[in-house]
Amino acid sequence: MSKEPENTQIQPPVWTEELLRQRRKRAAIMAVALLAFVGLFFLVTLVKLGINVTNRPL
Amino acid sequence: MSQDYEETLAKMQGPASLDAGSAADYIALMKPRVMSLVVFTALVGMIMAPGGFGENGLHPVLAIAALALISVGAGASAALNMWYDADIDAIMSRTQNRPIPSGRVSKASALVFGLWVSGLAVMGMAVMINYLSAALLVFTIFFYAVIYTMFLKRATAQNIVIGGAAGALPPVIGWAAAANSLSVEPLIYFAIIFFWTPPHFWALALIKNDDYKAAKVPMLPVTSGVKATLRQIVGYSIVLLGVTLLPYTMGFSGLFYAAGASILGLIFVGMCVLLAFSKADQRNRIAGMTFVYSIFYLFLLFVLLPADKLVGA
Repeated sequence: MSKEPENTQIQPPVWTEELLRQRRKRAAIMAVALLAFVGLFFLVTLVKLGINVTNRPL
Repeated sequence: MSQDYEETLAKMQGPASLDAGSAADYIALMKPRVMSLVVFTALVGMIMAPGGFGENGLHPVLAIAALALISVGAGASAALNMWYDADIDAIMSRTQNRPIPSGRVSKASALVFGLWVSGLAVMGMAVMINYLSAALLVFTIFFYAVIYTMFLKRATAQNIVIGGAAGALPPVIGWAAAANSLSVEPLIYFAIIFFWTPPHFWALALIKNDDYKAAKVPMLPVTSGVKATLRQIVGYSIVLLGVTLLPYTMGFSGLFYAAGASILGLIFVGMCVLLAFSKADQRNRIAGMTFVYSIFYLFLLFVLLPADKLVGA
């Protein structure tokens, strides 16, 4: 039987201050991009519905 | 113990990798300079479509949405291209500072990014604009990322000739977004970019010949030599001149366009001929000038098309 390795545990990644800063920046930009996408969907919906947006029972 | 097990063990014992890419690296993955030409030609396709931005044409909000989605789709296909080509990008001087070969973005992250953004762009196009433009966008992404990048690029010297179809589709998508149909005009715009691509790209390939040789990419100067490439460049520039005059000969554009396209085209043919007869020590300089002029040439051709419409109105 072959000898079992002594250390088979995955070492966790090391989050340095620089990596954390870049991750925060990436996350912020992703949030802005997603909000822009949502805003675009909203505007396109308004344009497609046109005057019918206001044509509903109150 | 098997070799595979040893390798897996080595990976497990090392630290898990982290993606250190900044937002700018992800933007670089999308080849923003190529995106700008894509957006511009798509915009011209929209303007030239029946109705254009007029009363019966595309609403400005929808036009902005379509342009944004086309550019994002093009960017996503570029990210997929960089994911697949990371090995050869690392060898060539022009590309070795790209986010993946320089180690700033991992291959896996680029793949996930490219797939997600492609999906969002195509779905957005289908929901917000129309199915025809969405279908054309998905075909463009597939053609560039799969047909060109994975098959043609490393297999044949005609890689950029056939692959040029992907870069030629944006004005067709723009037209389809505005008109929800296709006709001969957008196919002529497609042909203009299709026949423009080989002389444009081969001028660059002449300068970067050593890079392509080192990376074993079968560009025409690598497989057939410089002389054959120069002959092809001149041939394509003459064909391109004829194709750029089709909008006039078929009655879609007026004399203003025909005059401008003729002058610009003759200058391009002249530069290609000059390149073909240049001495070896001058060749790279003239190839560089031809490459830069080719971008300017295409840009002005696509300015002339709507300008002619304005002049004729």
